[in-house]
Amino acid sequence: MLERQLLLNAVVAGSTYSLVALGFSVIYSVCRFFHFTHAAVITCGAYLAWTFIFLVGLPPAVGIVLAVLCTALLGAILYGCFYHFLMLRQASPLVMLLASLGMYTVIQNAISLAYGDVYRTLSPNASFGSYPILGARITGVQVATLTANVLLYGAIGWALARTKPGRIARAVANDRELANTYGIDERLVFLVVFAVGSLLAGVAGILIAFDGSINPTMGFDALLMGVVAAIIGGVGSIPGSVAGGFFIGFIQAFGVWKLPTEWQGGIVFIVLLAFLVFRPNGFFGKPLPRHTV
Amino acid sequence: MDGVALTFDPGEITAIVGPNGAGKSTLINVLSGYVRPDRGQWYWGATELTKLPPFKIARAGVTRTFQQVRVANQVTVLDNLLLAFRGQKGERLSNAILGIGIREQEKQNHERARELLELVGLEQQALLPAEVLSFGQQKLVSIACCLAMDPDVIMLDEPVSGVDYTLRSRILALLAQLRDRGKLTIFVEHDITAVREVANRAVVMNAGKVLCQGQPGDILRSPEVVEAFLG
Amino acid sequence: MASLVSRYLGIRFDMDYAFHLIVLISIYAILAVSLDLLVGQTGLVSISQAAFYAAGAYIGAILAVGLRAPFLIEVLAAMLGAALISLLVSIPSIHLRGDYFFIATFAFQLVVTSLLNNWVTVTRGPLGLAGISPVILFGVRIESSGKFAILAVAATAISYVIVWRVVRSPFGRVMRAIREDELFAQSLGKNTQGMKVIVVALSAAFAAVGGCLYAHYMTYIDPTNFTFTESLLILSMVVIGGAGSLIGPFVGAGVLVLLPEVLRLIGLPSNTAANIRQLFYGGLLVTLMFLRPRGFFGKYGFGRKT
Repeated sequence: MLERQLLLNAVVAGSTYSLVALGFSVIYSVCRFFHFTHAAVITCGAYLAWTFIFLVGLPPAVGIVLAVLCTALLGAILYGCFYHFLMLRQASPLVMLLASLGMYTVIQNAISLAYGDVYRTLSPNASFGSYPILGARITGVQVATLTANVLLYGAIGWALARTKPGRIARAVANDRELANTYGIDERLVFLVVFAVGSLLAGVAGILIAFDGSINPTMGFDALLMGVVAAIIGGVGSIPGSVAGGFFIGFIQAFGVWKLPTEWQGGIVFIVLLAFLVFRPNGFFGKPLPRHTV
Repeated sequence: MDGVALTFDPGEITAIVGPNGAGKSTLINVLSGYVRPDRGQWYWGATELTKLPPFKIARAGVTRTFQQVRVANQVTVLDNLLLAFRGQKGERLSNAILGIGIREQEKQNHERARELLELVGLEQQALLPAEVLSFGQQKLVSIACCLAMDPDVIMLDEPVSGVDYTLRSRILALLAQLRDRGKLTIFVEHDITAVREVANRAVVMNAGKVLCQGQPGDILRSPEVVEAFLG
Repeated sequence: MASLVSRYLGIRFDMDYAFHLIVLISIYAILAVSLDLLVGQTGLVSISQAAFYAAGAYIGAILAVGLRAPFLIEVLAAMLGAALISLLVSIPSIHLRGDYFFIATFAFQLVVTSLLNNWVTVTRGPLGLAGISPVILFGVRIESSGKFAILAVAATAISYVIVWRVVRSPFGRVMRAIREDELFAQSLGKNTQGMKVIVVALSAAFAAVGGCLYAHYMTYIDPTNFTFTESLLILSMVVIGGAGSLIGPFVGAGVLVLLPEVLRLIGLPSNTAANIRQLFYGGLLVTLMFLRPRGFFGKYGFGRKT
């Protein structure tokens, strides 16, 4: 049935948005600035996987794992060699935002120059079979997407709640100066947080690539969805990012189902506006920062 | 804050004292509209200020300074003061573009600004960006801005903390002048000598509650107050 | 005189080409200064200027083609339309911290692009609007590139004068106070939220002027002229030229319009030229954020970490 298929697609798409939201949210809640380059990191994940599998010739599983690890490394480098030095210069959040916009442009165009703007695909054969489920059909790729996403939420959620590094990260997210007085080296925390967030971005990029195609600006729309999902769910909240992602997925599917084509992009914006006006905390988050004393 | 009930009168200088975390700055933040309390109301004369945003409270004649001095950093001292004057026609976009009636007002405001700068002793610094001034000088600028608003009420959050001695006496002299002009002045301070010098009333707070209030001389010697500070 | 100059420079100098550059620089100068009102004067970073630019271009084009409206009426209507549209972005997000306003503009930009591509009944989607008639102003039919250059320069001059008046006025003073410390501005009795909404609307209105000019000059517009990349280009002009001054955006516009032309003269293959150009802008942006956030001629360095 069409509705069930749409619903299923919504769930799968939503899970990927949740992943992007999660990665972005983790970085934002700890480091407190808009890391726009995250969009380029997502794209890099996909291109790295493509490179390892199709140019270098590695077996897909190895290629994917290697790509994800490299993306995490990229995130760590972005912090360690770039943002870190900006922070040393007492850069304001606006400066960080502009710098990350510039860095996004640099990376995205570097990818365009290196790989061309040609649309590529990560799975030349059809999506690894399709299986009937509850009246709709789910493809192998979609199964993999859902599994990967659920596993990752669980892992991140567990890590933040139960492990020492996780608790340290949450402490820094809550109150950076206080954490500093307790001797926590925030630089190390930022490094790890960037690596983990970027790892999630890399996985998201690869999953998007499997489901669709790869092109230099793919990280872009994903980032918008992820950011809106993070805001809807409540920035900095894990269940929030997950809920927000699925919510956006459903809204989008609803848009495809019921709305004329011109409004399908608009619906995400309208949802964002509605939340900013009526429920700035999102589902689970703390109130969005207004200007406060 | 917990169960705070206070009255302030014009021509009085009230000092709010207490240990850290007593709620002193919060009191000012609430009264000026920057922090919303769970319960309570407050009024200036017949006007209820309770749910008003900070800018409306300022327009009602209730002004304040900030503990961590707030001024427009890259803007000159003179411009900071010019900002503060009320009823500027040039702040309406239509007037700004068409230039209606601005020149007269600007001239007048420039005059008043220079007078105020002389009053606080900062004429030399008029054209410097506010950020290059010392901490104490910036506090003077923010007080001058309050004065430029021709307020009825001035609330100062730690006006002399961290200020060097010469500027300190200048600030305290200003506060005394405010009292003489019939303004209602409230200030939060740690510096007890300052309190003794200018305040005619002291309110002691601790842990969000008002402990006691009265003449500074008596209050500050009373045993419960001393204990609150040391305990 | 053109032949004298071309003999002197030793290159083929074409007056039409010079006029073309003048028109482009003028249009971008207007766009850049409109964004500077937001970014440099009020401290609100926005990535949706191309959306307002598009609003102006499309409203102008539709009025000109569909209703044969006189040029000045068309421009005023486009300015009003863009200003009203800006309320969709500013009202919900202006009370939040800068990052969130930025996100709202980001979402807005992407949505407008999507709308331009998909609302085929109004915008003809990817086909764009063609056959936009030349401007008829005070009885003069502006068809040659030379005449249009005069129109463009006049429009730019008028825009800059208006912006200059605003910046110099008490209104401009409050804008800068909001930029420096919004809470302080509030404590002085300024309605900062209301003023920010007005500034966004003003910025959108000026961008719309640029849009009308562009529509009539090219006689054809389509959604690819008004994308996120375009917004980023305008933002780069402001930041590189220098935020918070009048000269900065103008210089930024000049440099970022002339640079690709220079690259083209050198003979870079056109498919990679765009990427190399953008790579360069991005790199320049990054470098400036490290070394000199206020750009070459700007006065505002985007604040310091409090």
